[in-house]
Amino acid sequence: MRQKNVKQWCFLAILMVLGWSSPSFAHKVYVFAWAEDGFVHSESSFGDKKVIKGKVEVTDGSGAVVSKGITDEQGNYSFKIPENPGSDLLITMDASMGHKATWLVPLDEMQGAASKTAHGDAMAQKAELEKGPSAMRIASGIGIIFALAFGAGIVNNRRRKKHHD
Amino acid sequence: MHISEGVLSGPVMMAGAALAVAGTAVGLKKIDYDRIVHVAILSSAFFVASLIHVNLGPSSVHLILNGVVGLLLGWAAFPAILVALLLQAVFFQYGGITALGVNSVIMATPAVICYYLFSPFLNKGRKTVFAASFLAGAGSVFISCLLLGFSLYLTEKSFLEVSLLVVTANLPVMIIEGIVTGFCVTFFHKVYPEILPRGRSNS
Repeated sequence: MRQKNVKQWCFLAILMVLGWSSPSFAHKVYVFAWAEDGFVHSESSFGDKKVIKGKVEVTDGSGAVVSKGITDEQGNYSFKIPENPGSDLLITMDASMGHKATWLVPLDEMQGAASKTAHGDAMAQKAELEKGPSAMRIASGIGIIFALAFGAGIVNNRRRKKHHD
Repeated sequence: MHISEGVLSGPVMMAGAALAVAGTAVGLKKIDYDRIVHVAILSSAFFVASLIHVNLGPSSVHLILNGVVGLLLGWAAFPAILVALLLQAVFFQYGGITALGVNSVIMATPAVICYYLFSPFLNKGRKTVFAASFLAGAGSVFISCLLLGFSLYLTEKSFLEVSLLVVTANLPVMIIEGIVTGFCVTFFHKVYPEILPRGRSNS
């Protein structure tokens, strides 16, 4: 009876932890940024989870640091566009524990010359980053694993036969 | 647990790749090809496990299952985990190709260590099997955290700080992994002992 109770508690504990955790299908950390009204605004997240207090560093074409700071509670970080920027700006966001992402802000976007198409492309790229892996990709991955195992089995059988002959 | 691309220095990535190749070579040599389907099943489980996430503080952690993979496969865990990580990098953009070697070492080495430490207990009673499997599941995540901290230390020189952060963030994962591994292995021990390493089960 006591053993049964322990099992029930363990099962309940797993259910509670899994219930408390929110299923997320994009563990990859990413940073997305766009230029607007003299500022560059950035968003950092693990898909549906914002990166809070992630370290952000902005560098220009020569590698010089243009801006530095941490993301807020919403995973946002903004900085003023430098006067007469001479190159694209690279935003590097470090979410700690080996999670890092980068985003390049093009010079023409900061100068207000970016077309609506370019902005649309950037938004599409953001949507792609936020989208989780599809069932097709998951199934393909599993299919490849079994195909590799099947191939390894065949190769091994041929070797055995050769050895036997 | 996956280290992203561009985080580690070149020499660390090269060393990780060399160790991963060596581990995979040993693993391929030691695979029991009559049980290759078991390797594929466990590699698939590892591949999918990373999709189950737990949001913690400023970061996000996920199930790893390297403990159960190691306990059931031994050295074959190396190729199984390498292939799963490669597919995760390609299909889900987790980690990255350049960090594949280091990530493989971080997750497969604890699996092999736990195999040697805990698989001798798999021919004991059910309680002992559960306890050994729990320790293998939790211990493999703990060792992975230390290896992750060490990898970052070689680049950032702050081992204690990073390791403490990683271990603390992954503490719930260790407990979950321990319980999941315990139930899985105990279940296999009862209904499908053939999947356990040969000579370790009661059958």
